[in-house]
Amino acid sequence: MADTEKTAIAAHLYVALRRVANRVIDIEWMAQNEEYARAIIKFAVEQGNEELARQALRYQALLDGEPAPREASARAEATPPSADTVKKRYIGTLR
Amino acid sequence: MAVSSGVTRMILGLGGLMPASVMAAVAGPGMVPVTQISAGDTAWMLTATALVLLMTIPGLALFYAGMVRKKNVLSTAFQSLAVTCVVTLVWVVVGYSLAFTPSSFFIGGFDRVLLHGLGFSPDGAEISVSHIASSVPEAVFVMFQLTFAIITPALLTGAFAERIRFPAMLLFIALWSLLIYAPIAHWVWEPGGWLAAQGVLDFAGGTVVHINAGIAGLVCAYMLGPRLGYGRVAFPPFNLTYTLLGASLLWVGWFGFNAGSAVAADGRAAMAMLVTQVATAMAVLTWMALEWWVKSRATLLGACSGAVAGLVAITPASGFVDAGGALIIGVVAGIACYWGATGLKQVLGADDALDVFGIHGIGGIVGALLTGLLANPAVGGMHGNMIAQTTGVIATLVYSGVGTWVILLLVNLVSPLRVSADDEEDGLDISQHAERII
Repeated sequence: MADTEKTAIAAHLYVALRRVANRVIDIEWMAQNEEYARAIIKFAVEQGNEELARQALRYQALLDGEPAPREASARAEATPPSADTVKKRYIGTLR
Repeated sequence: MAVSSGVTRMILGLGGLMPASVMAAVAGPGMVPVTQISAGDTAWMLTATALVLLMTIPGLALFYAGMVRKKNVLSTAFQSLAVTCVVTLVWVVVGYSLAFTPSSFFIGGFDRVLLHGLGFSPDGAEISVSHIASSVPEAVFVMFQLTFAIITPALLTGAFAERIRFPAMLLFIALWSLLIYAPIAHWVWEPGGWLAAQGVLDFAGGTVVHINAGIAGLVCAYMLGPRLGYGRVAFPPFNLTYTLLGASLLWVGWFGFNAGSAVAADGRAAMAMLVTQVATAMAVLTWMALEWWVKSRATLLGACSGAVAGLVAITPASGFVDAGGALIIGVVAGIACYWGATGLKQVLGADDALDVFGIHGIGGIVGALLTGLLANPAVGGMHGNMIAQTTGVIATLVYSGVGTWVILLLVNLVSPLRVSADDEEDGLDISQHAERII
């Protein structure tokens, strides 16, 4: 679960870093290598971008063994079913 | 060998029934004056051939690639491309000859090995034609049938998606095309085939292509075993937009598949195109309604699946039924294939990854049986026969099922079928092809 969350947050970081800092990161390596992940987090926070900082802190929480702060996304809360529910759809069946 | 006459095509279509008196007059592929070739028929068949090839590459490649996980997208799409090449080679070497030359009730002869004898006479005054399609050059007929031979094994790759070793797959597909597809095509579509003689109606391949691929896919799924984590973790599809694009290409290409199977640019081809559209739309609406009822949501994947279900089910019937029959076939296909991909899938317990049996197998069976029930003599010139249709279904299920099982056993001895657990975990894109989507 933690790895899945890490990858999901890293994907957000990937997009934002490419847009804001024109930097490309390795999402899978972030999930595998803590040192690399922490370097990316540090770099993301240094950019002074709110979205980058928020995603970096969420990833930091996971690295520290804490649950990642929930995204305060009104859109996500207003749109059932949740992403988890959607994922459960694909257990043992595609359709 | 000589061809009987131009009337053959009119009587037969591709999957029609040929009376014994006419069959006796059919000698096999042969030379005719070039003036006998119909420019209109040839132009349509060239177009239809391109449309059917479009169904596999890129249609099926995209359709399947969108439904697998990100780490297997490239390998899944690649399988369709590779199958296209392998089957092309097998077909021109011996497959076409075994399927579409007369020899015995079970299998064709070797007259056209390496397409020997196909083409023009030395003076250019004569050209070879198939006895099944005497108004178009045989080269067109070979190509048209090749595209059917390609898409059939390409369909069954969906059943073993995300876990088969690439070399084993290539070997399996070559053997399967030769030992399973060619004989069944001969049984049903060559006038001397035993199912053709029984009166089995299969206008465009409901039995030869879809039941055949469906049951073979199910056997593959059993033999290879489930993917790691199947039934415990979610396998979310990579990108259903690809699946929509693929399904749409399949739908458009299917006009070549069904209307092209008239082997002529005529009224029957037009009817085949019309009923294809009607049945498909009806199946989509039925699937959507079912999903709405069962899950409170209509999904894009469901709609795409309904489209394929309708296309599959109308395939054997497309030269035999009217628009009313197509509506019925569409509704029944939508319901049956929805059950095939959900309830029946749970009962069978096989990890048929992309529901090849649930949609192609069940849709093909529904179409074959309803063709027996709904064939309109005003469209195809003959009534259906439920006993013959059932015989065709059972024979195909048994032969293809058992044959596929034996081929898989043999291939596994030479080249292990399944990737290692580590390779599967890494994804087939990386482990089999050293590529990946970033």
